[in-house]
Amino acid sequence: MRARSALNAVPPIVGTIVVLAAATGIVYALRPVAPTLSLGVVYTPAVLIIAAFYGMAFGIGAAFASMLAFNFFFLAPVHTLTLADGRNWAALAVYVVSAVIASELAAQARRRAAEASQREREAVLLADTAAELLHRDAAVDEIRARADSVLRDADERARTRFDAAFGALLEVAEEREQLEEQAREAEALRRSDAVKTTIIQAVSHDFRTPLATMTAALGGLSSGEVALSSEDRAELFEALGSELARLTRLVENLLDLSRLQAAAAVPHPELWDVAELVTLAVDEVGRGSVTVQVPDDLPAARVDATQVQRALVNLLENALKFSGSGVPVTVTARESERSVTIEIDDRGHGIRPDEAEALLEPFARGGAVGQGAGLGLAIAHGFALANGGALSLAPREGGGTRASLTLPAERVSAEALQ
Amino acid sequence: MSTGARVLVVDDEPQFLRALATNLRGAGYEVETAISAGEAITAAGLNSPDAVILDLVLPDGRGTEVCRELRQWSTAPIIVVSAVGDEDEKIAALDAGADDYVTKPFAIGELLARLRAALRRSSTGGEPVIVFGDVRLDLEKQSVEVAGRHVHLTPHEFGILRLLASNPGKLLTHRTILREVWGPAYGDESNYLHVYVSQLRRKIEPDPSSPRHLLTEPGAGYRLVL
Repeated sequence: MRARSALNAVPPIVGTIVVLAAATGIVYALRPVAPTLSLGVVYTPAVLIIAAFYGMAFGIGAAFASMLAFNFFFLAPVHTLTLADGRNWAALAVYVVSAVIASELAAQARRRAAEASQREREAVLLADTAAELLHRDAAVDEIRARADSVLRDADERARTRFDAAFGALLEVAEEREQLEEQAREAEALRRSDAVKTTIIQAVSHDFRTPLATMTAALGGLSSGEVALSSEDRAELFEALGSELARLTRLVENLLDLSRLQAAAAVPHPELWDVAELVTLAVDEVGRGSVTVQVPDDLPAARVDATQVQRALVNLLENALKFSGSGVPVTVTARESERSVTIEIDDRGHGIRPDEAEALLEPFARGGAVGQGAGLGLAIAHGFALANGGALSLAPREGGGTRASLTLPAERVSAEALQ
Repeated sequence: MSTGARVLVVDDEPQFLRALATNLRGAGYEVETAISAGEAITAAGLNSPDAVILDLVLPDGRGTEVCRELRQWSTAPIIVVSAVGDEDEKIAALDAGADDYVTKPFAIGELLARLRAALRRSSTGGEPVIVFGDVRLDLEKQSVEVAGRHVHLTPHEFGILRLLASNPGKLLTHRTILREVWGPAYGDESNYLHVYVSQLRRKIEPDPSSPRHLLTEPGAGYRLVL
């Protein structure tokens, strides 16, 4: 084995010379014990070996070289070439025939071996690919791409075999994708049903609370049995008013949400002064507890003012609800690339970074807080997206939450305003 | 308080109509009611009211049609009652000649304030000099002074201010302002209007971030409060 791999490792010309030199050495060594002429056969296996390893050309070359070497070193007169000697030609004929037969046999064996190992590689590749693709739930497209890349490298016969195999793989993958699609649809239906149930539950709860307060207040006011001082009456009337306002907001939010979900809330974008948008929203929730710091040199926002106002009011109400009393909610605004970002900061109990996104979905509620149906953020989010903007929530350093509403904006040139 | 003014209230919901009429009578108005567009026009024709409170959704037609019809022979102020989601209809009614709007549900106090302002407006005439807060607007000289100092306004800014000040308290839609100030070819091009108004506000309001005179009605238009 070692000799074989050594012969394989060296260049053919070197191997040929080494083998011939070895044969010559053996003939030289055997000369005292055998008739010189019969030692010519020693070159036959040498030529066989060379032909088998290095192919027909080297084999025939070796045949001629053997003949010359035998003639030169061993046939009398030694150290001269006597080509006229008929024995030379007989030996040469034997060597050449050996070389041709040996190289042909060896080439055949090599071809078979190569073919076998090629098939083995193909089988392994196919098995690996199949296992990997099936195991990883590869998509149909991925299998197709992989098949293409494998087939490109394969020869004609391999391609036929691969085609069939990949065809089967594709069928399995397609079937699997169909099943997955069906499962997804079923899941989506189930979830939309669950969402509806949640909505109805949350809304019923949110309606019941103000209704109960109002019924109680009105009962007291209209009852002949209850004696009320004028302060008591004023208090009950105030409760009626604030609960009515709460119901109204709830209905408006539901309406907004349904319009957003039905994509019926088509924005009419116009250029608006950002400071004004903020002012309109702050006015609606009451200026008392909101600190506004909006520079007046910001670019104009291109948005639907009514929708952005609804978004801002919801964000402000949310911030005010969760901020402790006496701790102001701050509104700032800054210019970013082709947009303006309005930031509403509170010092409430804050949010976890991992729940920030989920809170923008309808009826999500942060942590332990049980107030409101959680519509406000979803509506603000919906209006932000409808206007080509974005809304994100993040915890603030030192506690509280920052809501960042980004809106598309552009600079209005002074000439346009003349 | 007894104003004695005659108010026509139009709404197709009997309970709401009754509550509204009771409140208005309690506030000293003479009240007539109608429950459809047809009834409203007949009633207004027979007994010309001093003001109309008009619901936008009626069984036999839109309130906007009633506005348009009434405006052909009556200058009585019209206050439309709209609901959330009816914004387009509300704007159409204002464009068709309505003076103001309230959104259902509304507090009766708000409606009474709007009604008082509308009635007062219909009895005042145009004066050449209009003064509000620190602002003195001279329509003849086309000049504006704020706290005694002359302020330069661009022609469009002056046009907006003159239009709003000539209709004190009245809600003017974006379309109306654009038509009156820029010309009849405009009306849907409210692109720069809001930015103009913001600029104007910076020139005449003492605190532009909390305006007292030049007010925005989100989604509807602007009004100037004297």
